[in-house]
Amino acid sequence: MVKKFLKIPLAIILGAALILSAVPAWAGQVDMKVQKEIEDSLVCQDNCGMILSSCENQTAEYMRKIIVDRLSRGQSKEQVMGYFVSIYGDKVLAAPPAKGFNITAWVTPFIVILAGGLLIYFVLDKWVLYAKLEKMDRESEEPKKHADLSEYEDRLEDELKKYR
Amino acid sequence: MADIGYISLVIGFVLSLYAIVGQLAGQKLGNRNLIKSAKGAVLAVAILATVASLALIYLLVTGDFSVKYVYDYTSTDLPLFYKFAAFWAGNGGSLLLWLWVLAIYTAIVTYSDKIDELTPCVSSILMGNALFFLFILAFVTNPFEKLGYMPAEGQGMNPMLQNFGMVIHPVTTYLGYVGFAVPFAFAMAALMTKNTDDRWIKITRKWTILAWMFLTLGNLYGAQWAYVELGWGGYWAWDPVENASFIPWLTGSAFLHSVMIQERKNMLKTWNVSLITITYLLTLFGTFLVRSGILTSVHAFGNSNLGMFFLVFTGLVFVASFWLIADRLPMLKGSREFESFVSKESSFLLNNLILVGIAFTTFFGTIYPLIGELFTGSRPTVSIPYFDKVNAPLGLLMILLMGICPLIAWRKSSGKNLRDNFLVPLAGAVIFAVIAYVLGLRKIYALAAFTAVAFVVVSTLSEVAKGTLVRMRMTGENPVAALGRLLVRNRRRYGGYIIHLGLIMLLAGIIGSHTYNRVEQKTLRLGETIRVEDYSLTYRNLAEGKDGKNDTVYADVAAAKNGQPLGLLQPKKVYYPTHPQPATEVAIRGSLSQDLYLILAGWENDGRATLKVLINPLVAWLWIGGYVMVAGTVFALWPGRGADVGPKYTRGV
Repeated sequence: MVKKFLKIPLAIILGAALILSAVPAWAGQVDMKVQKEIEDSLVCQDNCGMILSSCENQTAEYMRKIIVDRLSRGQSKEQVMGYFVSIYGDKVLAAPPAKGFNITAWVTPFIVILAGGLLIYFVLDKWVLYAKLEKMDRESEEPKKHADLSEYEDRLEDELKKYR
Repeated sequence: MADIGYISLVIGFVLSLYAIVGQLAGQKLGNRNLIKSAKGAVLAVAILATVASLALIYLLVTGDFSVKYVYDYTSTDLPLFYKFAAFWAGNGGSLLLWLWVLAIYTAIVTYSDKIDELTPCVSSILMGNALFFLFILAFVTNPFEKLGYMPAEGQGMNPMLQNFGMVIHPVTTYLGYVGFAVPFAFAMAALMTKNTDDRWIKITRKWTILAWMFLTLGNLYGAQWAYVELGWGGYWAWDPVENASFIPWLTGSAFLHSVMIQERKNMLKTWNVSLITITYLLTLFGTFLVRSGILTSVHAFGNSNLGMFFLVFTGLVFVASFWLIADRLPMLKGSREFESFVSKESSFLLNNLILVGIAFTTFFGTIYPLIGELFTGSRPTVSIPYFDKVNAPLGLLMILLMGICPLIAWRKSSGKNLRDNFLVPLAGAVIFAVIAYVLGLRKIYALAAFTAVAFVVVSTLSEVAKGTLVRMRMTGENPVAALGRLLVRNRRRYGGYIIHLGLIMLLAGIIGSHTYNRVEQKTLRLGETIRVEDYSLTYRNLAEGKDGKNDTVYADVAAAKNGQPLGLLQPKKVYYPTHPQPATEVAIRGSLSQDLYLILAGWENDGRATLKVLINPLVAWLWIGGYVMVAGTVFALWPGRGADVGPKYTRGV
């Protein structure tokens, strides 16, 4: 009987303890890794130009508190970022989002480098070809030069014979 | 004294005009007396710039607050060292420093008479630059402007500038920036006088390398200052002003490599002239960025109308120099023969592509907020994530090329040659990757980057070892003597290898600190401990103190690593009476493997303190690598036998 009597409050205490311990898990604690990812992706909005994770001023502190608050309420990284974009616009993001005109920010460097690479390839190809043609020219000239020399050598030989 | 300084600037302005006209007219008319007289004017400008600079230093050191510049940047309690450094703390002073360096460089070039027919032209171009700076100083931002009354106290120097790194950083950066003006002037003079052979490159080689070395130091000290003084735990934020000195460093590095092809094979003449022109234009563009306030930066001098003057000047130099290059294009045709795709020449071209590619990417990202605003109406932010993502793969390619280049022969590499040369470095890199993976290096990007680093180290050292062995075999010298003589007698080549190894150390620091850094922030009660990796930090005390006239709030934190005490750390906030925002003074315990970096982020009235703890791996290698690069540069530049370029390769040789 006593045991039965004790079981009910024990279950209530255990249940309450479980609920209390579970609350920070979904409402109080914040995944530091996600928080850092968000802070690394946002810029402090007081015109200091610094990444949020690097900035220590009051605006940065305020923004950080909002991140912690929203994460602790169970919002995802995208939702928190979306909240800041809705308030400040895209300029709060540390890198331009790859959509619309801003795609040019991401692709232009690689297009330029690729174009530079192709240019080097075609120029090199041409220069290697020039070198090959030059080599062929030299090789075709060599026997002729040799023939010319032998002609002179023969003539010299003939003339020398006259004096012998 | 202020009047002496200002009059020096005005007379300097007039004399620089005379120096330009006199030298150009003298050369045109063949009037040597006129040239000699104009050369005297160049010397006079150097002396007048020195007088003006010393006058400003005197005013700063003696605290004459009736001069606006002294009032704006100093205060009576400022240590003498920083009063002196205030010379370049503001717009006017820093431009005067630029002028001073430029005027001295111009005098040296003018009187060294390396190529008689080029010198008047070179000197005139440099004087043209000096004329611009003298105009700005005399008529736009006069550092000797008077307030008309004598304030009892000055406004003081920005606390963030009161750091040794910030004292050295501007000087070295300017020595680099101005240094690139010399090869640029020689290149333009060569085009103007139609002397388009490679003499200008040979003459300016030392100037170029010195400028590059100072710019390296400038970037290095800038990074050190940011790491220690800005208190955010990093050293490079891809800030527009940081980028402004990094971009010409990249194009300057590309130029140092591509001129070797012109020296050896008489090729790439147009490219080399264009590259040094772009490098010099980028130094001007960097100055425009710093002075205009057009982009947000923690380093900028603030908004001023100076930006417009620099923009116009940069535009004029751009148009004039590229018009000249276009006009002389037929004279810039060199040899057009590459024997093979697989040659050192080709690898240098790839190296140029990557270096200029990174420069372009950084430039494009820096100005993209303006482009974005132009096309979309709102200004996007382009910061660390963008530059890291876009430049990282290019950086990895760059590292690989640093390992590949020394292994490939000039002119042509045969299959056997490639097999023989690549076997050891590739094997070394693979062994390193396996060991690193087994030891726990599991992040794929870090593993790839460190493996590339290992490849470069083995490739460079194997080249040195090969050279030493050949020398031992041929001369019978012992290994130490053979190595020593090999290095000393080929200083240019092995100086370059030392620079590569230094750069690799620096890159290892960047890779390590980017991929394995750790941050923790926690609010602690007195006596509470925070543990981060092997470190434990116990918050002992929060107190107020005095640092001269400044109030400080500091925390005493007992640090230990694996239970071994590291001592007491004191991160603090410093409150300067002359500045509204407190400065963060971080506490750093550094070692070769990692830095423990502690920031006092905040505190509560009940005595709780918020500490931000960063573990930054391998940061020390950044600074060590930078100094090794400088040592390699000095080694390569040291005069005497061994400092010359290798043989010129011509057909049939």
